[in-house]
Amino acid sequence: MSTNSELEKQADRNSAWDEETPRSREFKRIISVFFGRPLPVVGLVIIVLIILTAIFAPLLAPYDPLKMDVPNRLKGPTAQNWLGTDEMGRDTLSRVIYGSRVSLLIGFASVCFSAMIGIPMGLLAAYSGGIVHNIIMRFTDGLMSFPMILIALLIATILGGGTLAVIIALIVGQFAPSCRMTCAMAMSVKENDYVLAARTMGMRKVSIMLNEILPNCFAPILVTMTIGLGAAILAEASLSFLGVGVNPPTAVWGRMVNEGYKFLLISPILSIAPGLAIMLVVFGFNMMGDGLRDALDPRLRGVI
Amino acid sequence: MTAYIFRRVMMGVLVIIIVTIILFLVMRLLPGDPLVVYLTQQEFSAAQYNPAQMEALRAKFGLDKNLFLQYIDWMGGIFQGDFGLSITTQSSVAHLITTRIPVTLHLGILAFLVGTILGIGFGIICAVRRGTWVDTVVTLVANIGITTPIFWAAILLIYLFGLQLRWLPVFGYTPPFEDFWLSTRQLIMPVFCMSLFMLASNTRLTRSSMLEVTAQDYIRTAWSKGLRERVIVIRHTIKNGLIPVIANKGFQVANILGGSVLIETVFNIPGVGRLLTTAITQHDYMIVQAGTLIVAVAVVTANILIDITYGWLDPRIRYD
Repeated sequence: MSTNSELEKQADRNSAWDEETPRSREFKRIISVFFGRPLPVVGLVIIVLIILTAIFAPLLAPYDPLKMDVPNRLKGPTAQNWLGTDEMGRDTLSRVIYGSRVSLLIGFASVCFSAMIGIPMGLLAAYSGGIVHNIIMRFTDGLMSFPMILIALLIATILGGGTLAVIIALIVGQFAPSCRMTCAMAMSVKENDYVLAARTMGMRKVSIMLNEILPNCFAPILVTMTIGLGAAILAEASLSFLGVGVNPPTAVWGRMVNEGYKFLLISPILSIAPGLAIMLVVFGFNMMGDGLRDALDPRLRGVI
Repeated sequence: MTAYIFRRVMMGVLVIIIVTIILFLVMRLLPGDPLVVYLTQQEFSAAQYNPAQMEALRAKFGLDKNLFLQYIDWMGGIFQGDFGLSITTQSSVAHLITTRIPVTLHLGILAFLVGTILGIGFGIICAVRRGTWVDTVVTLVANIGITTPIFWAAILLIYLFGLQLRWLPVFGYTPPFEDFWLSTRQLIMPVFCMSLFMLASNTRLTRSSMLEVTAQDYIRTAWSKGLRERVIVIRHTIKNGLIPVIANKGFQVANILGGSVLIETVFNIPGVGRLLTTAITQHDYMIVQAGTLIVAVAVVTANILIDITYGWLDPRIRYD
């Protein structure tokens, strides 16, 4: 009896193995590596929680983030205002909760658009070689000689501030590295035999780039974009800390840190709370990026 | 090696030219007539001038020429050490910047040294003691370090060591030749904050790169030859493990100089970074243009030096 059921189990296992394609087996391996260590999971949990916070901000925030209550200004943490109130009596907790919306919006928008510019440029550089490659490389060298925060600060100010100006500024500050990375990956993938095979079959260069080379650069691109999200959010916070960026009275973490700085002795929580929020988001994206890198392609450790 | 250095310097010059073109175009092609901006700065409005006077002013500032000639004018001025006049204070931009460069250099070089020495040191300790609690703690702290906004770290330090414990002065800068002790005490917090990202990222990078080298065949050979651990770590692992760390230094120099913008603002230090943020909020574009150019040129120069070191350490690079 027992042997019989064991045989059945064995048969089940065999059929399961047969149905599994290499793709799904690889997918399972990636999942198990990613979830096998604590830090990437912590990162993922933080990011999911913060995205949920941003979506459900109106339900979670105890007060309207813009509602002033001057008699209650600069109060420390109390039962009514868990994180106290700012110089205009606005509830800090509600402002930190709403601040997640601006950070995530600017982070996702700038990273997506800079990938949309950087990836095709990188592919073009790798695909054309010669003079086009050189021009693109020297141009990105030039752009990357400006510290990102400085060029973003300059462009955001010239454009006059506001959400769109910050997004454009961060795109200019970020697309060059993603172009360089895509180009380097594409150049190394280009040497593979399957690319040679595709060429021998008479495939056009453009379709070789899009169908053979781009999918094989996917892992490092995804990892760089995840870590880039953290960098973009950090840069946005730095800009708004310096007073350039999304206009008041919208709740923005960087500016909240700056506004609280004036009242450091009276109510330090005003600066500490929004800064902690920035740190958590950036930590989340970085740890997720590290985890994805090790799961997708451990050879990239130290490169990205 | 000479050919490599020559090629690298030539490429650096080319990149500097591209940097000037990018900066010039950013300042000119973005919306807003520079003349109208200038007049607004002077508390005049463009409406006060009739078209003929506007044209005369345009000619005075050379804005009537085409973009290419304007660029040549600007570059010609730079080669003669003329960066123009500050719009708000009417003083020479070149003078304003040269008085502030030593301050930023002082902070930046200290931050660079602290970040490099401590970062690589912690990374080596983690790699040698991998898997122990020391490794776990230091790696976690480094992971937090690369994600901390440095302006926030600065504020926390000011609150703790400046306002609560009263150990360190909370702002200002004193040249070390005037009062060395005060100068050092004022520098501790800003230098730590400026080096924070670099310190943490060097720790991570050194650790992972050392672990990678440890898995190589020549390290196994060294063990089987019966070399002592100390010799293997110092002679083989560190030497090869530091190559990717040095390759990343160029990015870190840019990062430190970018960080000076934030840190000099928080600690009220009169360096180039503080000059730039003030100029940006006052829309004093002559200072912004010159200051940004100086920073970018510094980054390119640092990159050339790093690449030459890199080529000297790793001969394979020279023949690329």
